[in-house]
Amino acid sequence: MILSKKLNPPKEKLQTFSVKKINIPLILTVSLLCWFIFTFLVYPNINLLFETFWVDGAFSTAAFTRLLSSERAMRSLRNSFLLAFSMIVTTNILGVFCVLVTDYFQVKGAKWLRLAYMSPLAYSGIAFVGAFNFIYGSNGILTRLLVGAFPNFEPTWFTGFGGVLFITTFAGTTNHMIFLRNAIKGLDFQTIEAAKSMGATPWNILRKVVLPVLKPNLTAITVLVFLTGLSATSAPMIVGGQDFQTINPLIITFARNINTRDLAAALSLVLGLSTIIVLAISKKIEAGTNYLSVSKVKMVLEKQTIGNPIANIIIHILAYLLFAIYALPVIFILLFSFSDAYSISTGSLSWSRLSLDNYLMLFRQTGAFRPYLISIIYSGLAALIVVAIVLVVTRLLHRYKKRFILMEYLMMIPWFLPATLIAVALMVTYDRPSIFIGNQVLIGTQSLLLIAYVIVLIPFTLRMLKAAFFTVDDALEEASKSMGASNFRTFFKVVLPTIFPAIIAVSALNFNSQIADFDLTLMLFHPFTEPLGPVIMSATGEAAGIEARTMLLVYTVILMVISSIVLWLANGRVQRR
Amino acid sequence: MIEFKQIEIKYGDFIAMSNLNLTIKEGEFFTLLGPSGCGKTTTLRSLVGFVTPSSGSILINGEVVNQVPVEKRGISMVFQSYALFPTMNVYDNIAYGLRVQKLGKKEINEKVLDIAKRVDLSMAQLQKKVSELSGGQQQRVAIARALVLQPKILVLDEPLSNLDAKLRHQLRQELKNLQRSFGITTIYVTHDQEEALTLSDRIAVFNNGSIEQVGTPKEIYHHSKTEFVCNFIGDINQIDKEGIKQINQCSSHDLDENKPGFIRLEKVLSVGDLEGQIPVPTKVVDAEFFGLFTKYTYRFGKNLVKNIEKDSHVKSFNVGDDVNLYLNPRHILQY
Repeated sequence: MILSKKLNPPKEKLQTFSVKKINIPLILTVSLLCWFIFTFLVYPNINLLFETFWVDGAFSTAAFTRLLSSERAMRSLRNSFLLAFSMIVTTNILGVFCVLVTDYFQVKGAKWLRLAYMSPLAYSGIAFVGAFNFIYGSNGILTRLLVGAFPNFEPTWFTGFGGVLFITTFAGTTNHMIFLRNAIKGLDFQTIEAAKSMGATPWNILRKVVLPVLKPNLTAITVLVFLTGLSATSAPMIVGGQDFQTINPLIITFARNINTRDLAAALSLVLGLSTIIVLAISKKIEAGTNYLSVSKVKMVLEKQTIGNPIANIIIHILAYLLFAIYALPVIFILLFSFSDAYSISTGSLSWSRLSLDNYLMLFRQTGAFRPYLISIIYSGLAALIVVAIVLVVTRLLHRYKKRFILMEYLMMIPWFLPATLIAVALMVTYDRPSIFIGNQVLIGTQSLLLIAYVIVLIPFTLRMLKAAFFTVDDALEEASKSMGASNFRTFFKVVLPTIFPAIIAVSALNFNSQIADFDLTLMLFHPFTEPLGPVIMSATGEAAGIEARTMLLVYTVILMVISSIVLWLANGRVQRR
Repeated sequence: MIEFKQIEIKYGDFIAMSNLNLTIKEGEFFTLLGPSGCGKTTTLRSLVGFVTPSSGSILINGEVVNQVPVEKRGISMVFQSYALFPTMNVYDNIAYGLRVQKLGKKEINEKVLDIAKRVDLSMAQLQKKVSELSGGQQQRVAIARALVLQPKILVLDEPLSNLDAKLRHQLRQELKNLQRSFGITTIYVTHDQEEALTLSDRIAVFNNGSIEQVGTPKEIYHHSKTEFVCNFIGDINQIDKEGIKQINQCSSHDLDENKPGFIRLEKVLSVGDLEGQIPVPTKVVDAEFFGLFTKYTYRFGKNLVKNIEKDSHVKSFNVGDDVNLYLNPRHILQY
């Protein structure tokens, strides 16, 4: 119905309602949020620009001139883009293949395949790189086997662009295994049946019916993959060698030295600008590519048989080859984590040398377990704080709709900025007393890393919780209020329990993503409270002693266990609800 | 008593309701009827307090409630989607409002069990999750949750629209019985004219953000004041100006030949033995058998006229038959 303003106006206004009550708790909450957003999301980045382009009271491009004249920096930039573009091809091919064999085609043992393909979820980042390095690195198990078999074999075969691309490609398929799988599961099977009834071949159905529907998801995943490649840190640092260094490791190196911090700032700005451009382009591509099923009665997807026997065999072989690549690091790390130093250094396994000694050492030596405890506390606290902040923001967005739209945009700033840029911005801004934080200095404090963790987790948490909030039927709140409940009671008794599964799931994912964080941690950690990331990093280096290498295995296994338990608990809880 | 006085409701520049004046008596079953987007739900929500009028007053028992928050108005609402809390079981859903009132456990339990019995919910069902109930059972829970608070006013926003036809008929009667036994002033929103006619003491027909007519179901049906009401309530035949001219020629009535006319289906008969009736020559173009009756469509000039023949065994026509229909020009409504 369209109503015009021509409708009869009331003859006289009996009452008008322009007087509004002042809501003090709301004003206080909004003020606190505004302070947080300005102090940690807006000001540091503006200050970074200022510090980079404003030297000795005048506009200056000196940092960029230095950057352009640095061959090492330029090579890193080229390498980062080379890696990012290569990953788009390799990760998408691998990711789509993995999802098709686990969820679209009838492939034997799909459950086991899925378990292996999803293993990077349980030990992402530095631990994943460390695990692959343990197998393929110059001291790796496989490398040593190959060198033993072929004495002329080059032990550094895995070092450089190829090794980095291999690791980042296999680590990058987690997005496919989460988002693309969901999209495939959400396909309306009747569209496939309809195509079949019109004589389409399985290959034609895949190309013309299935993949086009997945295009929006693939576009979004491609952007994520590109950005992951652009800001790769641990893989180039560990297996990149001298010849293949990328931007992020260089930013970390530059940021550590006060004389090259301007270079770190300039490099991180280049990285940030690239990220913003990529996201803007992807937004343009994404617009109008969403397909909504118009099916009245959606049917669950039935797995498709591969009719051609040769194709079937080839697909099975490839699927299990990938299974081996994903599963071997996990299996070897698990086995060797129970082995003694001799087995680890020689790469030989023997039942007689298996024991729990390494694990006992971890729990007996405070120093060994300490990084874990610190990481658990940091990531746990960050997950809690970010959920608390974002819950307040999403509640405001849900309740007052467009009135807080600017707040939402500002909260999304970290989405556009690489973690290293955020770290550099915090470093250059709060390395001196600042009025915004009560004339305190943040550099050199334990809270700086926690703040950074919270900042980088905000965009993901906001997107997820906002989506959860908007799925809550407004009528539930109205029903509660109509039964006499206050806003407070309605929120805590009706709204919060309804979105609780989403809160748990988001918190679990946030916890897992930060527990072995590397980029931010390496730049901002306090020397007295060294978290897991830097410890794993030093244990993967060439110079690492056998004890450090042994502990790396134990760390990785325990990390897998913790991450798996958290994911299982979150998933189980969500399903029960 | 509920009074709406010169209510105007705006959403930005959009006027959803203008100059609404309406009085609902105590204990009445009052229905707000109209097509989608006509403003009936907006009116209901303004009474409950979810929408604040931009001008005008809403009074409950003589007290202006515009500024009274939702939770203090003492109005219980049954939502179209039922709005049952998915995180609570049936018992907790019903007890929710009582807990808000901070009643004792024993009293809450007694009240929940009592209302559950009255709406026909078993003990076992009380312990179930709301998602485990059928549509009809969910609707009973929604009603029980609203009634257990013993509200001054009960409002229902299309509570039967999510149910299948058979269940809708069954629950409609139960709803009416419950309202009678509780004696609560009830305001019911629907776009289903049959529901409105069967349930209500009085009906307000809404169109384009204002009220077209308020009256009892019989007044609304037989004495529709506007063309919209006439068309919206029940099935009706429209006769064009040519047809009206033709009818005027066979009768002493002087219908306005510049306006179309409307006549209810039951006023068009195939037998003409009543005073004032005139014959109208038609040809049968369609026959729909409904079991209890047959609905015929006839061609009369350029018009398609329908009527209902209840006893299809006694009289039946075939498509193509020439039939004389009988109607009384007095029953023709013109606007």
